[in-house]
Amino acid sequence: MANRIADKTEADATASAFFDLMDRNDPPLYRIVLRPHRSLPVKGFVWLIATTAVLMTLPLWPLLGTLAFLGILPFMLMALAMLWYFFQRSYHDGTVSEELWLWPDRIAVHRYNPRSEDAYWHANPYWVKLALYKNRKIENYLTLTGENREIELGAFLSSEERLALHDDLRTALDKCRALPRR
Amino acid sequence: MADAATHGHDDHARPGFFTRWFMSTNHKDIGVLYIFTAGLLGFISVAFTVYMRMELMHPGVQYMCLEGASLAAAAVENCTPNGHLWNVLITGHGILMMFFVVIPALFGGFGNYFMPLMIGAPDMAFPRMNNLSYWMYVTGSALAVLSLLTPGGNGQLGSGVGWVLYAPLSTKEAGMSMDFAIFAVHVSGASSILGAINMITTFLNMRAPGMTLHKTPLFAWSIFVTAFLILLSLPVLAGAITMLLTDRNFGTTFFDAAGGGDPILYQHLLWFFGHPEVYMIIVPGFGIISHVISTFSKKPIFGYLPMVYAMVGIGALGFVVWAHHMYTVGMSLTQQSYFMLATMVIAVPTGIKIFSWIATMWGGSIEMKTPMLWAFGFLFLFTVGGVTGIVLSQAGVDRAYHDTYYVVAHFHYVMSLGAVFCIFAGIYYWIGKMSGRQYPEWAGKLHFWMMFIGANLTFFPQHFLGRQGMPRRYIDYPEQFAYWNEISSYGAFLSFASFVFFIGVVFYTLRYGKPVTENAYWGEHADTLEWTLSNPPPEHTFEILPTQDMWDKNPHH
Repeated sequence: MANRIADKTEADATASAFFDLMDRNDPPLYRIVLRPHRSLPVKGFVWLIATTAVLMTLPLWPLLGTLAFLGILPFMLMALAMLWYFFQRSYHDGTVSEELWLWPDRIAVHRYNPRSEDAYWHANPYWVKLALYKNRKIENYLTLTGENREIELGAFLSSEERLALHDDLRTALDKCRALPRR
Repeated sequence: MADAATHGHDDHARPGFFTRWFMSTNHKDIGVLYIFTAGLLGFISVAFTVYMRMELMHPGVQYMCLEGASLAAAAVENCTPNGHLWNVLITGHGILMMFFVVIPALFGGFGNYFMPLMIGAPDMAFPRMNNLSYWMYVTGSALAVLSLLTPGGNGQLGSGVGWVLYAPLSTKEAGMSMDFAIFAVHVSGASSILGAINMITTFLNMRAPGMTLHKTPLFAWSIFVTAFLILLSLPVLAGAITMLLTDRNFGTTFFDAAGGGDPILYQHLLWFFGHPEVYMIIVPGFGIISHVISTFSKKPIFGYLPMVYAMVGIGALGFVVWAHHMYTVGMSLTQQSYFMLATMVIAVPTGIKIFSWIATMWGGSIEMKTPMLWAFGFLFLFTVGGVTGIVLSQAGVDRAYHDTYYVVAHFHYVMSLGAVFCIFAGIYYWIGKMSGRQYPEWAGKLHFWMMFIGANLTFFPQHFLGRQGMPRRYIDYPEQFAYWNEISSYGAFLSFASFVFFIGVVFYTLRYGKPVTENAYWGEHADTLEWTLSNPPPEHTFEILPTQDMWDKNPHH
């Protein structure tokens, strides 16, 4: 954890406080990383770009050696480059993730936001409230409340995944609370 | 963080009018914007045709006079025909319809609104780029309308070179109107490419977990195929019209034989884009019709996979048949034979679709609600247009039909009666979902019958005119052609009346329509994901991804 702090050029007070707390030697009782779903695997992306590139050459062959070739080529390359760039951007947007650790005396969540400040939350697991709302608009809305703050968990997951996460977390919290106090 | 929003969620401050409609990044709002803008431009474009049909109703020129265009008939001897105005109107009608009405309505409108819903995506992959695409489309439309009003050729306003902008006509047309038209197509092309990349990314990368490509609804597939056609063909058009622009303004000679260029090259480039273009217009319609027919036959669609691959096949074949638009430019016999055969091959995937729709209805419990009427109308009339297409695909026969009203009848049967019927089918099918209010059934049916009769009355006689040898793109004709022209004009007036009636129906529905409370108000066979949402859907759908059991109602298709 210490080197992650070193990576941060700006000493963000919240972040460093968070990582100070996380800088401990005992392994967590429970740890999970949550990531959103992206339906096209990298292999599919390669196929997409390759197919597009090959098909784009179709109108270019007969123009080889003419000036008109140069009239069409830049537009083709621009379209291909934009397709590439936006897919990469979509994958990058999909790198949003949430990491959760649970120790006997601390529960912590780090949300990695690809295009904005990361967010942090931690609390004492003994007092934390885990809630699963089943309201009409959002199915299985999962939240954690502690330190006067309610945070959502896995908003980018499917509702079934959140249900499973809820059960796992419940079990982990119960186990944690059943540990003998020091 | 992700601070919880559940308590505040229901009382999200509603965005103001300006924020909601001008700065929108919500795919549903942008879809609605596309539909309304396309509707407005459609009205302008249709108004042109009514004026043209008025002029063509009787031999001689009565309305478009050099002395001043008017809506009241002038005596023929007091009227000097204004051919330029006529040419501007056919050009304006073509450019608006091809670039700014049908594709924005089907692809931009319904595609934006329903494709993300159907695949269970929270929104488009790039919501802000979506907004940019829409406003570039508006900019392009404004330029296109402006080009009608700026100084052009023949010392008059606007340019009359035809929507295909053939060189050397377009390179020699005077004034800046032509440049505005080129810019209009450029900007709308950029908008379409951005939109297409957005759609492709959304379709491929944002599908709900477990929704494999072979389980994605047909409409979503149709939008994907269309997006791919746009991505592959619009850069060619952009290149072609850029060369046109430099020929006009910077003295290059890409399309000028005097400087070593080739005007036929422009036609090749234009049609390499232009033929896929007509499939971009109709393929999203195929998607809508599939859902409508399945819903109102109360059966799952017949042959889901062949339907998907037929669309892919039509898209692919669309890229290798372009020169059938230019049999008469002097190609070798071998070239003509190839383009002729390749063109006829398209009948195979199209046939697969038509027969699968019929097979879907076979043994189904068919309910003749308004959207189904439009789908039926589409099916019959698109087939008629397809059959005349096969006739025109014969290079020899095309010698006789080229640039006659037979061609006009053919492409209006597939576009005006094909694609436009799909737009209406989509509107009647989904207006309850989009607005939360339902149209009066009788009004929808009346609109359908007026339009169906009107459009047939307009375009069927044009087959006869074409066979009699009446050339297209002229303001006047010999009196031998008068009979069918008059009938065709009556049809156009009836169609226009139905369009005005439709506008009334839409505004009545939005304001006084009966509220629809049931999510899947067309019954259980409307089983794609949008039917699990309320009417209208909440502003943020699927911030949470939906689960497989919500959309996989028919695991064996």
